[in-house]
Amino acid sequence: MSEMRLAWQRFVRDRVAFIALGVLGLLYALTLFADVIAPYTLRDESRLHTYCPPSALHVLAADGSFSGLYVRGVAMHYDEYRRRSYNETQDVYPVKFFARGEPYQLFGLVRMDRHLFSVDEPGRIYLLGADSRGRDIFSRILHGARVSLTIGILGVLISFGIGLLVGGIAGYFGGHVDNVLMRLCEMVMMVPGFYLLLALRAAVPDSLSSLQIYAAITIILSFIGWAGLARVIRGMCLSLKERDYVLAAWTMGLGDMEIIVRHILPHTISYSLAAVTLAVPGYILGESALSLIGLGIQDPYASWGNMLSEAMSIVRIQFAPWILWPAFFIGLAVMCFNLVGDAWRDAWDPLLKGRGDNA
Amino acid sequence: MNDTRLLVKGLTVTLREQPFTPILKDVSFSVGRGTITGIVGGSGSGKTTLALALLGLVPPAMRVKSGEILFEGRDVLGMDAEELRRLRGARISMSFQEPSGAFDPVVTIGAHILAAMAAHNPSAGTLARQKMLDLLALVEVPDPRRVAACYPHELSGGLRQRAMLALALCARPALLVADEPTSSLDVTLQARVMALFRKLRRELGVSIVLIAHDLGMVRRLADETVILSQGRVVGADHAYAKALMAAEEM
Repeated sequence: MSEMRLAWQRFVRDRVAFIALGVLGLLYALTLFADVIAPYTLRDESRLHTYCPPSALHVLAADGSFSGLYVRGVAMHYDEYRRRSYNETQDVYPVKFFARGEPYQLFGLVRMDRHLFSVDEPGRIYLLGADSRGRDIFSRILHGARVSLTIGILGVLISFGIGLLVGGIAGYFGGHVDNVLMRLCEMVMMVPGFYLLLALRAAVPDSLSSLQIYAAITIILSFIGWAGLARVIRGMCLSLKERDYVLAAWTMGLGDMEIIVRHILPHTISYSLAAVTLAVPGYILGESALSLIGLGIQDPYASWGNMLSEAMSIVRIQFAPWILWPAFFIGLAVMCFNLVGDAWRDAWDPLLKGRGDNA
Repeated sequence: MNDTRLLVKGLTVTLREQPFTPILKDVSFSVGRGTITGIVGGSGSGKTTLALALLGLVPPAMRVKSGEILFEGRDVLGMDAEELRRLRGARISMSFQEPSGAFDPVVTIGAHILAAMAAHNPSAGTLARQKMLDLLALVEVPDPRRVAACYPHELSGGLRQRAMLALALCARPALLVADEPTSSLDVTLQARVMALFRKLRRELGVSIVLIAHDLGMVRRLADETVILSQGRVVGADHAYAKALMAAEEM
């Protein structure tokens, strides 16, 4: 496994990719502690704060003296065209750290009600603005990250498992088995991904709980994703099975599946790791697309995709551009996964460096 | 007849694409219980093809045209895949010329042997580990516990060769096919491996088919010697055999 260590050393030398890995780590850490960090829970809303802009954070009191971090209250106004606008009032709401707020269960286990930061009602703190129902976009991005960031990993793991198995079997046995499995892959790959996504989603009933929808989307996404990986793994197995140690394993009477799992697939792992990292963005985008058109995660649950469905109207984007924040996070996560995946692949095989994405 | 473990009768192997170019032509010999049979031949004489055929592993580009391989009275070439799997490693096993290629670089020596044991005796459990260490000790590996935890590249060539013999012997086979067991070793190690073969035959009663290009080494070790030239078994008066012996005396 020292090859793995060498590749890691080359990877670390790529500064951009290393930073991208750090950003991903941070995003996942935020996701893990979303309940604590977010000032509001998923179900929290305030109809008096529809499309409230991001709160201004103040540190100086009205007389110019230092007063600690606070936000002001806001009042909604309509102009003669019934356009909404907000003005700050003189009410002061100090930002409190680790104060009691709405209760939640950390990791679904520990009952807690402390939030990293919050302000007392009726004040509201909107770091990234509010959506149509006065819900805090910052909080919802954190809660939504749970869906958006895990669905990629989970989906990739499932399709990775299928891809390894199918590719391994096709490459190892060759002949008719290979032929049938590869034609199957091509059939899956032939259908344009998004339409297949829609068709499969249509096959799943709508009356599902949010958890069931989450599982259904994951499975649908991985159903589309496995074929590409299976093809590459199959190609690698075709050459790996010619190695002497595979012949030796045959002469020792090892079973076929045992040879595939023990002596062939482990040698594809470094490549697969890069392929998997590069595949994650596809799943994140797939979930976003499904949720954006209302077929994915349903309100009140948040995902970055369904938060963006509010941003489908250009008028809303004009007067409340902050509803586009989820798009920024989707872009950030996708970019980081691509940078890390590319760098890892280059680190693994320096000869491929700069060959573009089709390697 | 009762003493014959392996009987090869008129084995002819050809290329699939060129059925009139025999790789092995009408090869016949027999191996008795607890004997060492040497098969000597130059490069391209069909030694390795013959070795693989004994285990029912004819390369995909080749095909058995005629002949029989009878192992303990059963025809190896007529067996189905599962019968062959149970035969290989358990009753007939093989060691390779290049032990560095025959071990998977990402699997430890011990794990190789344990996996092969489990393939033939799944219920061995915790005893298997001790048996594995005993095996390594039997083939004179110093410090078996350490070697078992090593990856193949961490061992010297001589140790790897012995570790591979341990692997081949893990299910106490009746027949060991050793393909060029000493050609990648230096002279002192060759002598040790040859002594080891004698010991294995004595202690385990295993029959050995020793495949080599070195007639002198084979003649010192083997009870019987078969000389293979261009896929045919030739007698001591054949030109190739004479050339071999002449080379020996130089």
